Amino acid sequence: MLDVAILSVLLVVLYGAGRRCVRAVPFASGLEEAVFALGLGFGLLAYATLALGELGLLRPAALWALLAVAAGFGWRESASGLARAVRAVRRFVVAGQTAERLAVVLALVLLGSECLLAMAPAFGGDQTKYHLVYPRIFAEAGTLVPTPWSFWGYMQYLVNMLFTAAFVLRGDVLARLINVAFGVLATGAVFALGRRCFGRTVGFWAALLFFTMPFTATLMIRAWTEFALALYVVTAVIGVIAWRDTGARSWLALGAVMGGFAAGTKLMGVLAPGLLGVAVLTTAWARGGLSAALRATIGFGLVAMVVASPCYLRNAAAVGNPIFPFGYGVFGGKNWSAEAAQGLDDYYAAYRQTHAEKRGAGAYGSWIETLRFPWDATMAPYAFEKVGRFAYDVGPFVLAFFPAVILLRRDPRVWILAGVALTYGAIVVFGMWAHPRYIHPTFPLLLIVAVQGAWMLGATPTTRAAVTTVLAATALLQAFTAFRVVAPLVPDSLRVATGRLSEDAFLRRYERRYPLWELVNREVPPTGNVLILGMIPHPYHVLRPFTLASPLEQGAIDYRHLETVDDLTDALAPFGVTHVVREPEDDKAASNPVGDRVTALWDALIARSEKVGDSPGGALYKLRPMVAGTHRATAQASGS
Amino acid sequence: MSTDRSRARATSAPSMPLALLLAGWAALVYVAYLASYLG
Repeated sequence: MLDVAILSVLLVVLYGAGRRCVRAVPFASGLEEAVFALGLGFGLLAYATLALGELGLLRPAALWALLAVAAGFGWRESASGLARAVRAVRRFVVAGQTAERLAVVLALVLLGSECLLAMAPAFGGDQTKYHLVYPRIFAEAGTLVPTPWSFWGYMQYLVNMLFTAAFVLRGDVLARLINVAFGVLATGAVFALGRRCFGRTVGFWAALLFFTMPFTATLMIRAWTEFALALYVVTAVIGVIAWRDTGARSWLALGAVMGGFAAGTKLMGVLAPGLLGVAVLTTAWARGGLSAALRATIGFGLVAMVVASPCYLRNAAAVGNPIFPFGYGVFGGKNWSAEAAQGLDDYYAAYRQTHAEKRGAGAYGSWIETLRFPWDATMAPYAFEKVGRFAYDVGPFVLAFFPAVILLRRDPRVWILAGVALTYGAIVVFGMWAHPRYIHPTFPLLLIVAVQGAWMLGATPTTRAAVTTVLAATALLQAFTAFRVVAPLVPDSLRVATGRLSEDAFLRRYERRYPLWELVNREVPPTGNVLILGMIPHPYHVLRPFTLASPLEQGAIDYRHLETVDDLTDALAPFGVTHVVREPEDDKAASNPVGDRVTALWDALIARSEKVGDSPGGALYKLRPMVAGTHRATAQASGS
Repeated sequence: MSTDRSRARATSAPSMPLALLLAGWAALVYVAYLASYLG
């Protein structure tokens, strides 16, 4: 419950500070204002955390002091906002439409289940690979530590900085609750955008369909970055559309800030301000000529770029590449190579193939095959990575009703919504990776257009009733499926929450790597350092210092130049490793850039080591002093 | 309101063939989705 209390404090403080910053913007409603205020507040907290990390001041006292300053800055706005929210909730409970109240009850029950899972011990997803791993390392060290043995330590953007703040203040439950807060805010942003463009009814249905998507449930229960990206993309679109409708320059500035946050959340998010910049250019050109268009667009782009830049600047300073490890051919980067980048591409190509086979086909081999993606993402969302049948289910509504956009072709705002969504989606799907999670920010925009398109199909009272029935049935089916996604984990999560099941027992049941990590935590002393041998390691539950040796995710241990196990031990010397484990992995068709030689070297290293203990997930070995590098490092130092 | 008027101008009721085409596509997607859901 302390995590919920800290989250509540964060929400109140960040809302007040954010609201005071945006008081010049003419919002359409208190809800719209709250979405922007909190989005801004979270973004500023993330960058403040990054700054504290760079200064080596990542301590609870420093962060609380910062929050106290923010609370002092926005306390009036917090107080009046809370009072306003209480009045609005009371009004809604007493006089809201029955359908809306039922929908809110449904959403709250679903949200409650999702929060329960978010508060159970973390397992699964990318959170145990990198979203939570490095924020915890940063928080424990009080600074942003270099991780030459993993590029994931540099794929730490805006949301990861918030997770870092969560670890400084409390722990991983708070981090996942912040993710939940972003999910709720993104839903609020969908409602606000739908209402602004097409009225309250469209906003309501689009938000309900977004929230009840099984895909949303999956993203709610673990630490991801998708909701934050969706929030910032949707709010950036609201900013540009509101500027277009009202002419208020404050809207354009706020849209640029939100677009900058989108770009600062994930590299793919750079597309959002880029595409919205085109909308700004064309709108301003039509109204005020070329010079006005250039002024507006350059201003928009500059603000977005400055807001997006902090995490990229950190990478540029740390490893010489702002988008590390991508763009190696242009920027280069420490502890990485063109071969490693190619190896990673090959690995993920094989990964795509493996999972595409689940829908009875192969990975998309041409752009014509890639045109199937919208259909496959709707009908076979399980065929893109290792997930449950319905985990990435997005429901049928978007695919079924988006074509009705043709009925809205004369509305310029639809061109912005559909243009941003389709272009963003096309660039990702055709140019990067055709995967539902990577186009997640397009779903809110597509849903809003699809709901309005469906609404236009219902021209008569009878057809309108039919459309309403389809919308309600879809929301109910999605909610039922979302419950199916979360239900298997609810009983044990509830047992953990009520103290009837230990976190250790929970993790033994659900996290297959946990027994090995528990062995490591028990046997390796706090001063030790465990070398983790695995292609795609998930070391979140390793509580001892560790070094990753994947040939796919780092180049500090450069296997291209290692022929023998002696070469490997020489390469390990700078890391001071004392123990070694082999992380259990799935059998995959994929290979690594150096081939079987890597696993042969790992086997030889383990053969030279002493077994310390066994677990159902694998064995722990202690490196002999010669292997641990002490002797070699000393010999090299004295010889030089 | 002017916004509502411009909204009304910006959208157009579909002709019967177009409405049938769009509704038919939507029905096809729902049937295929439900088939994959239940299968």
